[in-house]
Amino acid sequence: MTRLFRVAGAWVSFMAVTVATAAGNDAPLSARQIEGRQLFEATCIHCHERSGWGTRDLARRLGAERSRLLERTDLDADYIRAVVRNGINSMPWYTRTDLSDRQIEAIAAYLMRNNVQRN
Amino acid sequence: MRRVLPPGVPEPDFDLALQAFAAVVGRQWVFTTEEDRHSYMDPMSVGDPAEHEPSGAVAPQSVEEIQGILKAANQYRIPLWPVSMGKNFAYGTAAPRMRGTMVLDLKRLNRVLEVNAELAYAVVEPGVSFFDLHRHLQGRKLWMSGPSHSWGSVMGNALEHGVGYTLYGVHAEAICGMEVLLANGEIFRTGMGAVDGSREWQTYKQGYGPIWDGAFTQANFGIVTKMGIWLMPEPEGMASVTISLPNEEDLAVLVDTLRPLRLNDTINSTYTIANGVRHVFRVGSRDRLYQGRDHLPKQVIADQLKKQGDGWWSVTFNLFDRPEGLDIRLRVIREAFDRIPGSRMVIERWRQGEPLAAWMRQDVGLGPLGVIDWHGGPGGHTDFGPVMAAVGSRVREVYDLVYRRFVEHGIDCFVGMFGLGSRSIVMVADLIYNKNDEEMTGRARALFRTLTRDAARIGVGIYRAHISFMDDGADMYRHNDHALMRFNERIKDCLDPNGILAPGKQGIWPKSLRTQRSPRGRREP
Repeated sequence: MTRLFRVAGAWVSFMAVTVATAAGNDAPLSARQIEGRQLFEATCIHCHERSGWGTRDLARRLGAERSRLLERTDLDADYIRAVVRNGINSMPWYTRTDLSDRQIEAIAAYLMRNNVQRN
Repeated sequence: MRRVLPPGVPEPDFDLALQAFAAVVGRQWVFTTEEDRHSYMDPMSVGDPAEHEPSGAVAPQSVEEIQGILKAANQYRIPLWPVSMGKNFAYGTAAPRMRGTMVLDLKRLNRVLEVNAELAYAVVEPGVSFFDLHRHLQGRKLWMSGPSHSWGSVMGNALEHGVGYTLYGVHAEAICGMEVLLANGEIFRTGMGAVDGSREWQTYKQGYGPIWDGAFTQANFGIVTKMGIWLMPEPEGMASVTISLPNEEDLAVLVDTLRPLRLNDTINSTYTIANGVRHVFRVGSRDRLYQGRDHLPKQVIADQLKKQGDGWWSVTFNLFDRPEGLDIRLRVIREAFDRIPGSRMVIERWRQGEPLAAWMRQDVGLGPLGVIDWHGGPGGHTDFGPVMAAVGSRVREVYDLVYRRFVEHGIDCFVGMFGLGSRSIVMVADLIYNKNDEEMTGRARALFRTLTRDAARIGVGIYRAHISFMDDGADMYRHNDHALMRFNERIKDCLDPNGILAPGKQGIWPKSLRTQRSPRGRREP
């Protein structure tokens, strides 16, 4: 239960500080984001590709428009870390030998590249 | 902080052991927080995952570090559960059989040590996944045999008797030569690897004297740190064949038609038989078909199969040969199946030089895991895997029994059957459930235990089991008052007198921990 609250709490706190934008961000990726992209493509893409299991699960729960992680503009580093470490729904959790905290931060940096911070 | 300790280990001793582990691998590779312990538990547990909660995990990066860990584990009597990638979904993933066991996470030993193109083999460490090996083989004209999901370890899958879809699809049979660490830290090499300077370690399995590779599969006698695995040279041609048969009663004739074709090598790789329930899973979510909590009614399945254009049974297999050889094989197969009324055959073909296609199963992925959300999720699954002689009457006998029990327990009977060799078929009857639904997982547990009892009565054993059912599986092998298990236990006690390596693995318990055996599998000492 504690872990569920942790995931939910991270989500709520994050929703308070960011908004989504419809447009993508064409700015070049930072070195950290490039590392994150490589990790995402090696680790996450198998379920979070367009027709992947994770994408289908997210579509069922959150709707099609929020099912594709690569197009999201509302993700948050704490939330991503909590989901990766603790799992969510059918997504299994990752040990620290699967992905280190630093690697999860890099993935988060990549997935958050399109976010716009609210003042 | 809440702690979990190994049974019988005083907390001060556990702390000293953790300090010793940290001195060997570095503090950052010893994991004992609640979050870390949780990350090594079974995400698809059939019941309460805390039954198998580890006391922590330690992650070495070298054989020398494992030796250091073994030394401390022997000193403080800390049980260790070695895992390679720890992704054996349906069977416990990284979680140990016995609560309080420390996970020995070998993922950091992740080197492909050798790829030999001339002799078509690779030597891998435990932490090499199918994704890793696939990347490593790009452009080399060597194909690996991968299972349906690729996150797991090449070594771990072979050691656990996993299955793929090439000429080398029986992965335990593709193992050639191991380096093994015994509980006392001693290293030895199997087969030709015992000859200093050998160039034949991965080419000749028998060696001199007993063949030991098999003794370290599904076992707890040592830790495999290096393993040779045979690969398939890229074939000149390949075909995928799917044959469907319309009626549930066609199973026996299907098996009896396949057997001679597999025995004479016309079909030269593993075949997979799927039943009607498995076919209708294609709709993705159960509530699109049926809302009841009981088993899918036969009429619902029949209606959906008709809509999909599928028969009740299908069999899929790959053929590997040069194009003119494929022509001959396909003609013989077609002649054999044309004798069965209503059979339909679909063929895909590829020849060397053409781009690889999805049906060839040479890519890597996790797609098949999606079936676990059949009930809407979050899903989990395990399976009941009886081994059957490849004779139609026998397969039908076991299938009917399994199907009837699934219906009684209200779990949809999702069945695949693997023609591994030419003479046996392993049924994988998936128990798919919503993992947080206590009532449903309770039914699944009861079903599994009922099936082991029923199957043993007709002389059938299973090929692997989830950690929660390892004792149940072992209990099916009863000949001469469990003489096989008593033999295993004698070896265990000799090689691992402190009982530190994977206690309870496949029902093999060390002397000091035999009281931990689950009641149905418990025998007199």
